[in-house]
Amino acid sequence: MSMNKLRRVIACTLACTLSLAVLIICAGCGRQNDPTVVTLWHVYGGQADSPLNALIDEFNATVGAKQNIRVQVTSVTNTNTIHENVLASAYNDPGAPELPDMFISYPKTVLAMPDDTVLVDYSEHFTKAELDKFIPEFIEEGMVNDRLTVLPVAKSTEIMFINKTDFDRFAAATGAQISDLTTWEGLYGLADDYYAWTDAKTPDIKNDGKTFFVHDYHFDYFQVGVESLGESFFEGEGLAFGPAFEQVWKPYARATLEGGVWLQSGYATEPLRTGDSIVSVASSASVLYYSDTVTYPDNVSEKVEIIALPCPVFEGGEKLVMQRGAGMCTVKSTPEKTKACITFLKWLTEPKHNVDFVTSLGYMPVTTEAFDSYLTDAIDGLTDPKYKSLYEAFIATQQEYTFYNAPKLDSYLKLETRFEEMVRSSLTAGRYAYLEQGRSIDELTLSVLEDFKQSYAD
Amino acid sequence: MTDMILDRIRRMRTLLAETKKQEVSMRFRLNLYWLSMLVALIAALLLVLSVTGVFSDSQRKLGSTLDLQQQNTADRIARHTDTLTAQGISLSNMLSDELSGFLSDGNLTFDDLNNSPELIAEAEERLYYVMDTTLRTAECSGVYFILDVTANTGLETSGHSRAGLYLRYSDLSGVNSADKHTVLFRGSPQVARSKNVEMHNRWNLEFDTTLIPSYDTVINSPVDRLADGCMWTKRMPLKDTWESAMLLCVPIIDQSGAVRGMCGMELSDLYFRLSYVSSHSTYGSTLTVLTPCEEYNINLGDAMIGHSEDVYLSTDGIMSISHGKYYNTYSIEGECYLGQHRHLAVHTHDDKPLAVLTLLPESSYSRSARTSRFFWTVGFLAFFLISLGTSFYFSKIFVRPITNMLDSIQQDTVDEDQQSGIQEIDQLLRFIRERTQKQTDGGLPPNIEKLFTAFTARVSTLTSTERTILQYYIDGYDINSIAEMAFISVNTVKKHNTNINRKLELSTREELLLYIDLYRRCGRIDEISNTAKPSQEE
Repeated sequence: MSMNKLRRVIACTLACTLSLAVLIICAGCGRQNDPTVVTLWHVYGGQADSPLNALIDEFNATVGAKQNIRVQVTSVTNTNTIHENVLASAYNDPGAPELPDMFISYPKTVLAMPDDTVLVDYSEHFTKAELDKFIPEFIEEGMVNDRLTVLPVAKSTEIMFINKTDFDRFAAATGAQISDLTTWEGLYGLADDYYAWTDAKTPDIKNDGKTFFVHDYHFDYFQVGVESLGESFFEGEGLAFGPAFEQVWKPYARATLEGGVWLQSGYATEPLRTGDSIVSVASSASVLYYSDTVTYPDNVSEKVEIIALPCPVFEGGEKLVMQRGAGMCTVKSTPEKTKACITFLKWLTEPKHNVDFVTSLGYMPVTTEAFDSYLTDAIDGLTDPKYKSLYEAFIATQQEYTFYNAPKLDSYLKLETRFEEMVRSSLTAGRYAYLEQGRSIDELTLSVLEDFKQSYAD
Repeated sequence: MTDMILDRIRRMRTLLAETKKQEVSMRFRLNLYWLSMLVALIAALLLVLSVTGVFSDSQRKLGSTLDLQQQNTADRIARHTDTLTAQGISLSNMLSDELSGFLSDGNLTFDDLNNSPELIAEAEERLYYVMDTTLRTAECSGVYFILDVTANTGLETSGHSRAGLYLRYSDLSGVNSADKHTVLFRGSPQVARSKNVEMHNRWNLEFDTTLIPSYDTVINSPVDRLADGCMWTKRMPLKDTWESAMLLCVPIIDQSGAVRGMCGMELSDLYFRLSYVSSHSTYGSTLTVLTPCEEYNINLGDAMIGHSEDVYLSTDGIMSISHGKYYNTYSIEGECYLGQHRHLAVHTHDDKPLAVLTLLPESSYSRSARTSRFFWTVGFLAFFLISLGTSFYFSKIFVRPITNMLDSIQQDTVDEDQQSGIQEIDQLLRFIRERTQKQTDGGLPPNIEKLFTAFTARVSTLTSTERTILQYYIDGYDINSIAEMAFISVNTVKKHNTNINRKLELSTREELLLYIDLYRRCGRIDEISNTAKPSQEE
């Protein structure tokens, strides 16, 4: 009996020791995981106060906190900058930054990457039912090499923004009408008048008139213009300089050579901000960057009214307008990070959040439900008159225009960059010839075109 | 309570004492000895580890780690700010020279710049390259200069609107990337267009000096040496943007010593975040924070916080400091951080000292301690289990030959040549075998032999008649049969029985019959049968 008792004592001691050890082990195992932090480059806000940053804070505090995810913005710039940095990183250029986990991009950037398989294919992470909720054209635009690598989160189009305060002054003095701006021909006609009117204000100084109009993307102007006249802008991997191209070129070049169109690089918001232009065509998303204040060189600032109207069209041409808006790309990494990114993107494209996001930035939502169920109410709730004007122009555009999608050519980016640089430099040279050499405007309009076509083809 | 404990100890001792007397298997004893040795070994190891400080002084160790990291980070930030200050002074000198050259080339005075937007634009264009070069060579996110002039003194805002140039990087995705884009945040658009620089989305022509806390101090404080006039602002928001920054402010002085403006570098919160990424230590990731610091409080609204993938600290709220022996504890809204801080030797616009903090989340430290305990425990447990298993195995191997041999003996299947392999056991086996052999050859144990000899001697003292009666008993006759065969009465037989018993030192007839049976079984019945010689008595 005593022997048994001893055995029991020993057995109990061993059992207690093992239990204590197991408890310590289990305590060591029960630790909370560190949050999954994912980084993001976006363009929504540029250098301004970004509404997307506030939305990200909301995500981090709600869904992110529950699922131990944190989205961290490490850059807010523009698509061109992101484009350059992404390609620099993809090509391993010296000094290139490391890619973030997510970045905003156009399909052209993905097309230009040496290996786009580093990007997540969203069709592997969204179910068919989830993808069907998106506007089909938007999804189609995000397909690159049969992979959905650019997820639509917000879409825009081109809109005409006008400094109405200054336009009204011009109109009062010259009889110009806002309705003249519904066509390109009318707009360029006003450009000539505006230049002459502003030049006349300083009679002692010749040829110091101000430009009337600025376009963010001359390439888009020509592309959409030619297509609206029923001709193809592209031929294979290059451009087709057909009759429609000349039709689009003539009024534009004439007004530019006469000084009515802004040729310098930079965004359209810049010359409007400094009073150097009063009419612009830019992405609807530029609304965030249009200031209600114009500051002149003598530091006088003036509050102005900025209004938005649908993009001008050519007389006799189709009402066609560029569909724009970059999407979100996700870089492949660990399963946890990929899952965190997808969680965030699904939250951002949820109808209510998507509408809150887009209406603060001048974009269109990307799902049918958002359009049908949430957008109208959101627009009614807008207080900024600039935004109200924008969404009225947006809706008019959506109702009356056809959206044009740029083709996904491998050479698209190269064609666009080359075009933008060369058309500006050709016309700048032509302007110089007009001012300094006294050549006729009609002759220059055609000769600059020939020079441009030849230089472009070289 | 004490009595109860003593009572239990007494019971254990009694139990152990009784246990010693019990029959305990050899294998169990051996296992117990192994186990005891194992426990002693582990205890000794724990003692050594404790003495050498593996388990002790964790707080001191944490303090040392934090101290080292803190020192490295503080030194790095000190070098950074010192270098920027030196570059700021150099910038001021260059701007002063260029401005002086610009004014003299145009036969202008400094005040001629007032109300002259074209002259201001020209001056900014001339000074642009100095700014651009400084921006590209300094570790900062922007450079600026402000001149104490304005394009339009007739405006209401002219009292706090000042001309200048402010260049910033528009993208800081990587602080070390070669090609960062510059934007014009403040300055003449003419500069942007001539230098092909993008204008910031929230561009303004001139600076609003009410938003720059140090401006009035710098402008109104003549200095003999630029180094004496340098100061840093606290983190301040950049108007209408999502960013905030600290500005280094260096006076721009002309040849007469008058302060004509101020210049410096910008250290944005984003730039700081990307430059000071968290360090990893054995206790987890630490955060770097640069902030004005009072003795017991830190306002995180003024802080610049480094990047960490594991730790998130919001730039919001008041953090309280509790000073400790080896490290401090920093608390905010239920979150605790362990760390240290030290002040930077920089001049700030409001004379509030700037400090560099190194913070480690307390949860991270606890996790690290738990992990350490976990691994130690797993290690010891594994060691214990392996040792236990080994002790069982070796004890079994040790005991097996002995138990095999004992089994063989019990079952009487021991071969002559069988050996256990253990010397002592084999010796015992040989001894037992010899004794068994002696018994098998007819020999009785000595003590038994002695009894037989004594009894036989006593039988020899019987008379012939008594021998005859004994023989009858040996032959198996009972008392009545013996009386008939001997032609004597039963009483006479009983009388002989009494004499026989007395002489043979027996008590009963049954005892006699027992002896007879014993002799018969041992094959020695002849020694007491009637064939033995009669005694001399008759």
